[in-house]
Amino acid sequence: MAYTSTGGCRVRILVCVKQVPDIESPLSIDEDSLWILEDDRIAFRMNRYDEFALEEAVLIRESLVDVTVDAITVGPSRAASVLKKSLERGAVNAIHIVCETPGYCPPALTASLLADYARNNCYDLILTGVMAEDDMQCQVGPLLAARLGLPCAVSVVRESISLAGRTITVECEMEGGVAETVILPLPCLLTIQSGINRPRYPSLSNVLRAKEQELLRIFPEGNAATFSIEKALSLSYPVKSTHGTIIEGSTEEKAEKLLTLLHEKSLL
Amino acid sequence: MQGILIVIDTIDNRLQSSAFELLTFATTLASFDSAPISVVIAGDSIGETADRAALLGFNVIVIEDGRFRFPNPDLLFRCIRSIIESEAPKYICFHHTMRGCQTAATLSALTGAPCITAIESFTVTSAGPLFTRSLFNGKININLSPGTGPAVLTVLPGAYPAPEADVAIHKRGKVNHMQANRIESPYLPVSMTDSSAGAVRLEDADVIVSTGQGIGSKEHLYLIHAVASIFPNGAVGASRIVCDRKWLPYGHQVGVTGKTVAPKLYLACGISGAQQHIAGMKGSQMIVAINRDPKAAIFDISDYIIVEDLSKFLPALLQKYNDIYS
Repeated sequence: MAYTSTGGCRVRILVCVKQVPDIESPLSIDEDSLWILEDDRIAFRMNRYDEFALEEAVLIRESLVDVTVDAITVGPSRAASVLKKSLERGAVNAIHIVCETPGYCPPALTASLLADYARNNCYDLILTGVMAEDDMQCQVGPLLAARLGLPCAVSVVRESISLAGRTITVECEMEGGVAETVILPLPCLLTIQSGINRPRYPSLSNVLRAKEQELLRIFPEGNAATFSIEKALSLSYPVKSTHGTIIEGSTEEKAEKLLTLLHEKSLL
Repeated sequence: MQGILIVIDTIDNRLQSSAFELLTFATTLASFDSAPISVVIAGDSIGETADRAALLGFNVIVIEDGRFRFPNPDLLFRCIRSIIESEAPKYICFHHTMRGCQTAATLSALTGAPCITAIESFTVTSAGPLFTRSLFNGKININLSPGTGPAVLTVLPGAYPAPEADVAIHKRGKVNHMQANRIESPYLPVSMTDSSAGAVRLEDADVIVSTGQGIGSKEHLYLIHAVASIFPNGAVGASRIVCDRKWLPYGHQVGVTGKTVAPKLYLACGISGAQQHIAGMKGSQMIVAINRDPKAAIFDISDYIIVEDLSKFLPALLQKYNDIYS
């Protein structure tokens, strides 16, 4: 992260974070086949990609003068814990848009709720993770940017702000090791790819501050969506496509069996 | 409102390897809806690619503009928005890449149509198509209905085969050109880098020995390189987390955000089987997985399963190879 500072310029950054079920938790489908069974065997935590987005915002805050970082989430009461985590890791304020509706949450709905808040709060930069680990839709960032009329760059692996020019230069990772460098005007929205930084552990002072700090809780009014959203009709377990052969024996026996197999298939 | 618009991805005027798979997806979808298909191809100079699509029987809309030399998802959505104002397609389909999702989601927000990403398959019901994608790292599938109105879709690479080029059963499609010079975009791509340049080309390897975080540390990577070197045309692949930890450059990454590969043998070492990794290698002819966790998701798609710790198994494998073949 590099910067060109004009000094004394207040920069407002919003970071969107999501609470996701830990994918290693035992996940099963509920009775109605509409969502997963949310019992106490499931651990919830912050989406890993959002941790990188939050860290990048905090790095910008530390390297420029007078920057504020707000963390925001859309989710049920339990999602407040990711906002506490955000405060512990350096966010200044935290906003919880409380949405208790269980089940599949369409990205368009999340983006619309985020946009309603962001529209009135004049952010210079909005960061999200490149995707959420649970549904991997890659949509909320660009949807939010489009709703706010902001330019957007996705899968950012490096950024450098020029406050003088009101621009940000970013490197966007594409598939297969290719990356492009893009210049965008501020304000804009970036979705942050993993590997851009090393998310920090919370500092003691921030942990103590987070404990005391109130979250701004917003209860959205009945949703009068002007857009149509996809409906989740059912969940199912994937059909396992192959039933592999288990190679058994001692370590050496397995190694030898594998070599024989590869030789028979003319791969060696 | 009818028809299917598909948007083919190019980088530096080169077609992405799996780009034509979208033609198969759209053809399958159209066979239920008897909808005409149009193909949008954007680039700096892409006449040849457009001709290839036209030869397969599709009508093509070509957008040639210097600003498309490097990928420009912002300019692309602005161009497509002006196309859909006149064409009013029912479905707009993209490849599930970072840029594809960006353009798809943006169009969805601007048109109010639902967006469904990373589609793996679909079924047809009386209420329209039902698209299947996976959730929670491939542990669960979800069936999503866009309803009966228009929708924006992205299709997972590898989910559909590319059409065979020599099947010339169709009448050649029409090629129309669209001018983008009046369309402004704040998104200014200035350069492109390729970190895979100089590295082994994973796409061309017969055997890929791929490593996940199960290898433990960067210091143990020599074992992966050594195993790859016993094969005549072997290469080293990696999962995302290995590249994030800077153990290997991103050019080695296999998966949705890396490369999609289909070698003769994919030897997955210490890879748990995250869905985004599996999407990039499940088309391999033979998959052998080594993992110490007997419940690793990678085993679900493997032809041969070896439950072992890499730090013990790989040295044993190399030793046996030396004993037998050297």
